[in-house]
Amino acid sequence: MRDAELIKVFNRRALLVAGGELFLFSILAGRLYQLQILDSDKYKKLSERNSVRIKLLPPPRGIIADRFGVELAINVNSYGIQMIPEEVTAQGLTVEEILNRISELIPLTEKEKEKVLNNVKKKRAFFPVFVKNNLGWDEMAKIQVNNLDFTGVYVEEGKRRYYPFDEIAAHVIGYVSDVTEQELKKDPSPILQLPDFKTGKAGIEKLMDKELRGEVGETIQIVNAVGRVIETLDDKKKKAIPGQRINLTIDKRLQEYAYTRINEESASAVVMDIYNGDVLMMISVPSYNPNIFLDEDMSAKEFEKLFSNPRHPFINKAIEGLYAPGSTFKMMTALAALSDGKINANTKINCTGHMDYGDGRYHCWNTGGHGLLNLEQSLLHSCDIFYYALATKVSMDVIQEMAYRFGLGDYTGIELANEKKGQVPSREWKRNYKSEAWYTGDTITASIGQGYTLVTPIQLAVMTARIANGGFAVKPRIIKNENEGNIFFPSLNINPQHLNMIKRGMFAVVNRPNGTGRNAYLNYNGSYMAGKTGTTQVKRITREERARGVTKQEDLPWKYRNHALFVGYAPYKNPRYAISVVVEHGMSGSGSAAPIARDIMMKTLELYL
Amino acid sequence: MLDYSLSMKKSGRMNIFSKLLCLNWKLVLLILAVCAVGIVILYSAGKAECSDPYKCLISYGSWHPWAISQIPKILVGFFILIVVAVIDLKVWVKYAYWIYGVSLLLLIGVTLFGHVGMGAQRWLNLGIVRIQPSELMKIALVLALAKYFAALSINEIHRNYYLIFPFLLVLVPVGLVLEQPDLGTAMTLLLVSGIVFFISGVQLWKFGLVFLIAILAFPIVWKYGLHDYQKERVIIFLNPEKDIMGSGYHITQSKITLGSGGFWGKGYLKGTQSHLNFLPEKQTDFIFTMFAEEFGMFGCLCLFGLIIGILWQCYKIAFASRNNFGKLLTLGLGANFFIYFFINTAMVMGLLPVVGVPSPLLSYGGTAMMTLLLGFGLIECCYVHSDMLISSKSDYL
Repeated sequence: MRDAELIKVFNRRALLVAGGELFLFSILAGRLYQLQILDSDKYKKLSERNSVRIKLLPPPRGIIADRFGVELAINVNSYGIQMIPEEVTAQGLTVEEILNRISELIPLTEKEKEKVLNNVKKKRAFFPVFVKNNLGWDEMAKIQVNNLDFTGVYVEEGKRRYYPFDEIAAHVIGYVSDVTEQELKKDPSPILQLPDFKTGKAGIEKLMDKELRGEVGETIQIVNAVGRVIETLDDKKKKAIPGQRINLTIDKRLQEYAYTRINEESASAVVMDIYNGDVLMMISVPSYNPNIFLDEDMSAKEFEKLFSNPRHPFINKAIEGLYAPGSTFKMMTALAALSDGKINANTKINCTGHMDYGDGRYHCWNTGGHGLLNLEQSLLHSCDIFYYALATKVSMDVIQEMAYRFGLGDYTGIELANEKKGQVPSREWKRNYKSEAWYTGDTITASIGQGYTLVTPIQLAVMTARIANGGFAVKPRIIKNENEGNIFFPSLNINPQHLNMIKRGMFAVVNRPNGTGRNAYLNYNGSYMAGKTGTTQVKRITREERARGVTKQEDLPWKYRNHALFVGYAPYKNPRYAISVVVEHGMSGSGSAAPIARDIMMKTLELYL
Repeated sequence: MLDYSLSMKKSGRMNIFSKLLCLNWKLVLLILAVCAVGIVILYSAGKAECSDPYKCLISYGSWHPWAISQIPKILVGFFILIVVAVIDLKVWVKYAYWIYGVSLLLLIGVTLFGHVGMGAQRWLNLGIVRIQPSELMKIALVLALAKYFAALSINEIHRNYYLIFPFLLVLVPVGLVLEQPDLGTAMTLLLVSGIVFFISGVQLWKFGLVFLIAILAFPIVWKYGLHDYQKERVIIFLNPEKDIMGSGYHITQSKITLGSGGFWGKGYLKGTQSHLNFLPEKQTDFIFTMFAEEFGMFGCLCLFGLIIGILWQCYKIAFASRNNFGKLLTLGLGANFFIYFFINTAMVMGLLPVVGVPSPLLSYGGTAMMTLLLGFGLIECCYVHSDMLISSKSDYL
């Protein structure tokens, strides 16, 4: 500091630097003034709208239509209230509080609130959760008018599954309902996280669920600081891909007809094309309305009532119902005996009303006896003695093998969930499952479709179709094959003459005045039906009951009455359609199943011939 | 007691205790206040630890992760400040070139073995601590330049020959920092050295000449000297609306954040821009923006007041110092602090390109905080030893 000049320079320049710094500070302050005062409104607006959100677009569920494109499961518009939990809690409100506020405008039951709270727990905080669905216009308007008070709550226009024909095809189509927790655990795909997403729970809806779902789209929304949508960037949109459309083989008209025709009975029926396997109609009565699963107002009590109905409305009896085939099995026994060379067209057996074998006496349903019968006549009268006699000649293994060839006792492979397998016994089967030897007495019982044999109505339809198509292993299908070529099914290697004998017998059953299936007689422009009745015992009328005077089926309580069956095909010449009808506790095949079969087949012929 | 200490100060013979009493506590308190503001903002920017990231998209203030780990850094920094302040000023004079040399070696080390962060090599991993030698160099350069110029007479300063050495002192680290590449620090080093040259008495026309050369050299530097991302930053600075969702995003969002704060701000912990994560790097480079959103222009002006207060104290110390070294060092370090603050603030306001300079004393980070407090320690040291006469040239050698 010896240099006074230097200090002068230093002091001057230090002040200059300080001045420069102050000047720069004033620039900063000026900039602050410009940004925070002059342009503040502009930036406040920008900040309010400054938020982008990805909105997921739910794909419309695939349409399910009948073979002619009549839509059986569709999507309709619906309004619902959605809530994004994260946005609600971000305002310092709890989900409960916002629910209480909403319920001041539109009533929410405790159950509904609980459901929302559960969903909030189940899903990620930024995924919207449905508060209430299927709102009316006025309710929706109330929410929208008050939207300012409801941060994180939105009215959403959505799509809802709707089944326009209610019960008529419920078991085939199935239904959709809320995603269950197990499904969420098993399937990580984000589509299940969508609000109010439904998955198929039965029928085609369940089996083809993945195909019907489609793919989620997304769009980018600009939302303001409190989350309200300001703008949707349509150019950044990824469209949702709708679920696959599924065309079924069933015919809505036939379905509807059968449903009304069967009416009060607990029954099921199947009509199928004997050449390509198309199931034109599959009905199970009583049915249910699949729309109830989407009905928020449906109470648990009503569901319980439906579930506890002894006639099991939720079971598709056509594929899940297991019944002894009864006399409809006689074709199998006869074909087994024919193929085994034990009988031929001329073999005659005398029915005296009963047959003694070993220690037992086996009765014909006609205790008076049918007299001397050939194969064709045995079918016509549905004589039991004839088949008892065959049973003493043919091994059960041969009968089982024949039944298997015609599709009994095994899955038909129809594209529906929960199909039952059923069973046709053999000697080995009894050893394995009953730990007992097979007696000829077992074969005698089995020869007329009683005993251990259990089949489903769809199997009976397949059996009839395979008889009618000349012995080809047709398989039923319910989803329409769009690129249809000629499908070829392998031959079952049945002697055509044997099949013709059976067919003549089945023709006689329906068309001879004294046939057991006379009730199924129809004449559509010279086209006739061939068929076979079946009546299977559910409970033997006991000696004690007989003593009380209970001799007739009508006297028994409903659940002990005989099952009534009928299988048939038409037209007899140039056959095309096979039918099977099972009326639970319908008492007799000729009495209750045959007329239903007749009417449904008549309708089929009217529609298709 | 105080009188005693003051008399001791004048005599230049003091023990540590009396030196502590002689510290400029106003300056310490002002620095502490700015650091406290930093902690307050870091708390607001914080985000609680959360196992489910989806539930924690929006944060509303937390000690975790920044505020809590910044506090010990500040405490260590103040410890360094005190220690540096009580060491004899002559020791700093004596070792100034050594400190510069070590910093230069570390800077070379970072170019060779540096850790790459944010697209530039800045960090040197020394086992326990990771340091940024370029931060240390800011202090060391001022120290070295102050030592050099303090020993020169006015005639010597006016001779070009005596400017060759300080020029090299500046250009070598600037070159190394540009190599990293760290445009912000290079700018700071140049400006700080410029100010030290200026207050040392270098003729004005020489500054004009250098400025002219710089302008003429600019096209060449632009073409060959700048990295693509640096060019991009300059272009975006000139036209930020060019690509809102891309690189211009930072500036645009920062301006929205600042502007939407208004005069009174949105309120503490209520800044939507920063809490909704629209503001990038809110704990480091854009911490001032976050402060401005929540506390508004009012808060910003108060903060400016604190910064000006710090600089005011620096000037007072510089003018009161009776040795050239103290004057130059204090003003040089004060200018360093100011330039640091100015570049960052002007950058987030969209007045300068985004060059990646954190806010001094406010931003999260250890090295910057500690070197800054080390710098203030040196200023305090000048204050404590302001009456010390470092007269003979030999003192500077």
